[in-house]
Amino acid sequence: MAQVYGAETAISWAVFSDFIEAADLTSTEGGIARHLYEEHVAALRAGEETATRLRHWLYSHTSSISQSIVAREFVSQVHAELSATEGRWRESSRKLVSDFFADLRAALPEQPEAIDRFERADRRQRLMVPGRLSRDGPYTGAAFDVIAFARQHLDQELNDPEIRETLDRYELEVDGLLRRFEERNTTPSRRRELMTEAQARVQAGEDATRLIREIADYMGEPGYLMVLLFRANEAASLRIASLLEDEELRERFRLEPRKRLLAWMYESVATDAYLERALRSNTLTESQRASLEGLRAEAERLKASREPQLELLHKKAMTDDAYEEYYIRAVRQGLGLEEGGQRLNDTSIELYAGRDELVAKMNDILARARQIMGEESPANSNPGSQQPGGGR
Amino acid sequence: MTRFAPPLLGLLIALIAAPFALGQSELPWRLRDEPRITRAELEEFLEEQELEASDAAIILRSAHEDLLAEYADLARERAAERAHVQQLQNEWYAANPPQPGIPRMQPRFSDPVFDQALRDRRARIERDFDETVLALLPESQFPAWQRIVNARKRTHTLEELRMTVPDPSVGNPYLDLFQIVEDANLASEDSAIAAPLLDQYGAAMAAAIDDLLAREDALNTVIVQNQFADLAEAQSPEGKAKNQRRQAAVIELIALRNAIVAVNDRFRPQIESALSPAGLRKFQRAIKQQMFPSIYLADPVELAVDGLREWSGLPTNLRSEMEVIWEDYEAQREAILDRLIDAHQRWEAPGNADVRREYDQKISEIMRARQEGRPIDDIEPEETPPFTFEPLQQRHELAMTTLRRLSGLFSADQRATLPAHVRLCLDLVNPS
Repeated sequence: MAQVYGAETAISWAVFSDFIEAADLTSTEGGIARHLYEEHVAALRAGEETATRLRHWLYSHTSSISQSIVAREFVSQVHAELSATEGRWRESSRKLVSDFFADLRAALPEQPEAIDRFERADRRQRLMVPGRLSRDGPYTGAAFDVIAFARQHLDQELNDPEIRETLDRYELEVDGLLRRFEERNTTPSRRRELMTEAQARVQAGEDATRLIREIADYMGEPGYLMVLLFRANEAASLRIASLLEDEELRERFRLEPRKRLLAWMYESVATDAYLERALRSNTLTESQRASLEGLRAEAERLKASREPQLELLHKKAMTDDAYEEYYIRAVRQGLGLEEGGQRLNDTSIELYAGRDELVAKMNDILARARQIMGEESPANSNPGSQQPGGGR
Repeated sequence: MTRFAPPLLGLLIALIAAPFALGQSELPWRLRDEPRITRAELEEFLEEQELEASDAAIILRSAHEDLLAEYADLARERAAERAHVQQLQNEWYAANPPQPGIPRMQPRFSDPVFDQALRDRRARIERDFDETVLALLPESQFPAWQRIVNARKRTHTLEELRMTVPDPSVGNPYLDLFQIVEDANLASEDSAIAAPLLDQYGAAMAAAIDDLLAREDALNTVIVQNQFADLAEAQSPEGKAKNQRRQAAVIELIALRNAIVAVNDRFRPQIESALSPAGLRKFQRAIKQQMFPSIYLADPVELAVDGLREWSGLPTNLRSEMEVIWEDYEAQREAILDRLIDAHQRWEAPGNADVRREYDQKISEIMRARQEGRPIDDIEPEETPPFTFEPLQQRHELAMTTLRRLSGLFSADQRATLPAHVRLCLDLVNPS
């Protein structure tokens, strides 16, 4: 079912089960917690379903007449209802989550710490996923829950006091940032209000500098929070790597932040996918297989050689001081005070040029692989073709 | 009912486009990577036949596990192929940017041999499972098993065919009368009358669906293999021959789909004439719901009333007041929905082509004026809205008026205690 962007999903059963296990509840307490949890899930699902159905019903009024001038007023009224309903559901769903935790605290007064941890785990689980926290651009490394990763890959090591302390500190730091991110997301209409105010000032010929800066801060803050999240993730993961004895695990924790940061490079690109598929073919001759394996090794070497430079550029693009200037320029353009022009800061331009160069070389490998397979390429070598959507 | 002619390649396009546009659960069955008979349905069958503790059940469950594992493999392969096709598409679009006046003909990116292999493998594992079941069951239970298989085939095939209906105003002709009877929630006497007719309908529909499924893959392959590579080919003698082959396959496909519609046309009046007047009303309402799903959508009043009915905190006196408001609403809503269907059909009717054309021209003119920054006031008074505008506005107004009546049953404090999903509906008329 389609989700209203920014609205909450129900607290996951896995996170809830972890809480039940960690809190060591009596059977009565467990029963109360489960009852509250089931009520919460039912309420959230009913709300989600209703929000989706309302959206379909409201849209159905405008789909066949949206261009009609006679219907203009009616169509804008329905659009306003749609937008208000989505805003209400965003707020309402968040309240259902906070009400659940408030009810749980009231029902289990002996468990404040376990419930705090549960709430933090829930926030990470809901927010630290690609698509929720960071949809694209240079922020992909923010959606990396180091605690979940550690639980997945570590066992006895989790009892190491230094690792535990690292994770505890990380948990609190990240939660502070995620809370701020949530608060910022609950008031999406604030930017519109500020923009309307700024427009009125500009139209009246008054100075709007202070408002422009405020709007730019407002627009830039989620990005800035994601930079801080990435830094917290990277620091915790590297710290854990330094505390591990097993070489393979150490490498895993050392490399993971970079892998998340350069997700586009690690996700399936055409060359990798093609080579993998071609190598699975049953009809390959030995010489074809050897050539394709050679190309696969070449692609791996190529990516490995570019990685450090791209990683540095990514980090610089994220934290570039120009970002504030970028948003101020965007707001000024929105207010008609400045012509539209360059949309990216210089580091981002360098980053995307670096990506394009790598992609062009990967495309060349793809073309050679197709030749080996006796196929013609549907598209000639074309920089950018393997590049996933990106940019601010 | 008029024969429904699906658009050229409609189903094929819907199936190719579907994975990128829909969630897994909304996909047609053949793209869902799950067995035709689910584990829950198998268990239900075993229980009905009192076989759940038998040796046969152990083997059947294990065969179903194998089937699931095969589907998981298929899902992995399909996902890898989909990623590959998507990348090829991206490359092609990047290498062939749109240029004014130069038409682009996109090549097919998916590998027909791979697609066919996947379909063949799927058919084989389903057939193997079916054979395992039949080998283990006593003959007396074959009809019960066949009923389940036919029911799932019917649901899946009609679901897919519905995706090919290009214009909602035509109404979906691929009705599932079993589903309609279930949705109509008929009284037990009416259900008993409908049951034998539904049995006959089930058998006739299964035969028509089997005919379609037996030829569909081959016909779709002919259609795909005879696509033009480019516009030059379309005009060449070979292109014309391809076109003839393609047309012949499309015509055969249409005939097979029309045979499915014909089964509905045959049995629908038989069931209608057998029902009581009250049953007939319910049955026809359920038919309209399935024919025009985009018109018979759940609305905020219905959602609020359903939510309140389920809410244990609603005082009895308010419950009866709410039911009065609901009955009043329901009667008026039905009349408006009928007008809306009528308006859709009148607007899309061939005889209305001139009005539609004029309207489209007017809209283009307005869009151009907007783009060029010209005033549109001169254009506005002459504009004719689609016929659907008025009933749509009435439907909206009736719902809002009724929501106000419902909302008026509660004080602001009481409203704050209502379930969140009910509040979401009532808040449409209580802007904060």
